Amino acid sequence: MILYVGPDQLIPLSGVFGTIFGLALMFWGKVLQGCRKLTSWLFSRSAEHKSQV
Amino acid sequence: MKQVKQPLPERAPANLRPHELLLLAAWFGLAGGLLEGFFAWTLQQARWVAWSRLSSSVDLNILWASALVNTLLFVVLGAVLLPVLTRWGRWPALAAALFGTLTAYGWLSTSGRLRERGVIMLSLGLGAVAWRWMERAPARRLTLMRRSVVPLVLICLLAWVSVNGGERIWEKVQVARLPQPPANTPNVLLIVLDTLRADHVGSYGYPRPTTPNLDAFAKQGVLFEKTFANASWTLPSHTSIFTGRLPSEHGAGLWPYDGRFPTLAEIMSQHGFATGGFVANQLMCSAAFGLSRGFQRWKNLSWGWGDIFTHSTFGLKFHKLYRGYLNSYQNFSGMSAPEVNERFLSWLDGRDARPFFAFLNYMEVHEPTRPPREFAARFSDDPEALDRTAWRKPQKYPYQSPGFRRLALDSYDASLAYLDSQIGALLEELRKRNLDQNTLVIITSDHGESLGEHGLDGHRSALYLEQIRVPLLLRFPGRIPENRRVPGVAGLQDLASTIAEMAGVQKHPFPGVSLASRWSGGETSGDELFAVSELDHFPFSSLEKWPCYHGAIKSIISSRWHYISHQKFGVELFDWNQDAQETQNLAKTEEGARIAAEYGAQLQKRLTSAQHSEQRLVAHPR
Ligand SMILES: [Zn+2]
Repeated sequence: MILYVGPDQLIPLSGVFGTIFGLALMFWGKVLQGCRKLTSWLFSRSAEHKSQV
Repeated sequence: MKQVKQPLPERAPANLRPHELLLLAAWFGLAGGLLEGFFAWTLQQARWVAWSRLSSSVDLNILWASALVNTLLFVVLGAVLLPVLTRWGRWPALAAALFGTLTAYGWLSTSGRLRERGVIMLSLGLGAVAWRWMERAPARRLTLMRRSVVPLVLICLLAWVSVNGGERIWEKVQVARLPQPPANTPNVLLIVLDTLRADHVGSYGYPRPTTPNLDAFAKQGVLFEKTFANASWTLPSHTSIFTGRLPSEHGAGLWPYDGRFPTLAEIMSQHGFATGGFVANQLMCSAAFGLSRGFQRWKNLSWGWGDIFTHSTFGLKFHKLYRGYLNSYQNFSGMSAPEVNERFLSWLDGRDARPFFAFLNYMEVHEPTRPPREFAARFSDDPEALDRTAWRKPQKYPYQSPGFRRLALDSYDASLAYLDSQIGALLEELRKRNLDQNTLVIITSDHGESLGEHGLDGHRSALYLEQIRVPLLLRFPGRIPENRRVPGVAGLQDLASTIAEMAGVQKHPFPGVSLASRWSGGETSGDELFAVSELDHFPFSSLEKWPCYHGAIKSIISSRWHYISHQKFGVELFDWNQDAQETQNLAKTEEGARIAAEYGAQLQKRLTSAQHSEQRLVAHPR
């Protein structure tokens, strides 16, 4: 009600987003590591899939 | 892809001296503060800020102000932590994380809208980024800081010089483009004593000696005995004064004034007047609220230490603590009456010969009232206690206890007496400059104040008499008769057309009727005159006790009857001459019901152009 025009609907989520981004930045090394693991796992899966075809 | 891992230095290189922690603190304060000021200003321009942030003024001075505050705070904090922090070899990274977190917190808080938890977590995350940035090459980073700290100071200085110089140049350009008004065009000085209720003014019958100067002034001109503000708070009421329109027409209130109608200053400016606003109310009168339209110079911040301090995230946080602790509020910053006078007079002395339209707003009787001791002693047996009632919403005191009410009343009256002395000083300065003859001076207020009536304190809560009845005095030697009292009802929305016409601006867009006809003998006691006031619905959690929390309120008042219609609570009718406290609602009596129906119809007639507040939810271009 007291808010002005803007992406107002996102405001209530700013607590959640802030926390997620904040934690991601704090553990950035772990996040990158996780991403790397995930991508290599996905690649290996698709490679496995191709070899089976 | 293989990441090359750089070895982390266990200790800071030997050439790093501990006192460089202060350099690091200053660097974060300067760079972060400049950006924080920029964010705050941009967000306020875009109006993407919480009400609490919008309502405190921001101008471009915030650029250097927040840098200054952050630098001072960070350096002090750095000095305190220095002995502990620098014991550890990796202190540069730790310090970067600390000041990085604080800087980020300052940035993320500028809108006042993001959830605190998210702001804190994201700030810590950015602090971690600062840690890693520093950790990678502390010596190189500190060299960068050493080299850039002087340029950053220069940027702040440049901001200070260019903002203030820029304002002056802009004003000069504006004034140079004005047409030349006809010879003998008078000056106009509009004075709003914010929050002054009429019945505390001597010439309105108040028995205490609150206003000797106003009373003397009243004798030199015309006094309107029954004047009513169009709203019971600053923004909509000032906008009505400036536009000649009712709040539901001009739309300012929950939203800033969007400029849909021309303002008095705009019209006066177009007719060649130098226009200046010197405004102590910094809560609602900032440029962001639209009231500065048409003014070539607009000052509502003194940029003294109080203003500087409150224009940074951390300064504001401290201010809130201070305000809660000392029961104090706005007088931490904003201009005092002597400052308003001084700024106005120096503007007056610096301008060319063209006529001026000046608007002055004083906050001395707005809560928190803090009368100087000398004045407090004149009105109270316990002058020291008056300070404790400054912010009349006491948590520690029994709210409606007679002792507290007495203190609040004494504080209001003592502050009024002080303000009156300052108005006296101002009028004397005008006389010394020979500006008392060819100047139309109007003294009024934007709304009244509840001092315990109806269980209320302050204003913007209801439309009872004490919140809307204001004084109205006009003086213009030779053009306005001396010592005349006009008994009929007047509304402040008629001031715009009155001022324009008295100043010789015959073609103007203001809808009201000039009040000049009222003192030149045109008023007969039989005339039925009305004034309309409006108050928006304020559904904010802290205001449950306030009638406007529960619904919008509208009021119409004549010289005898006061009709108030509340969206939820229905109609009230008071015979306000007999019942000035408005305690006896006559709407349910047989005669009262008939009058209420008649007044309800009159009110509707006057509100034809009212718009639903929902339609105003769209921000308008400024
Ligand atoms: Zn006000």
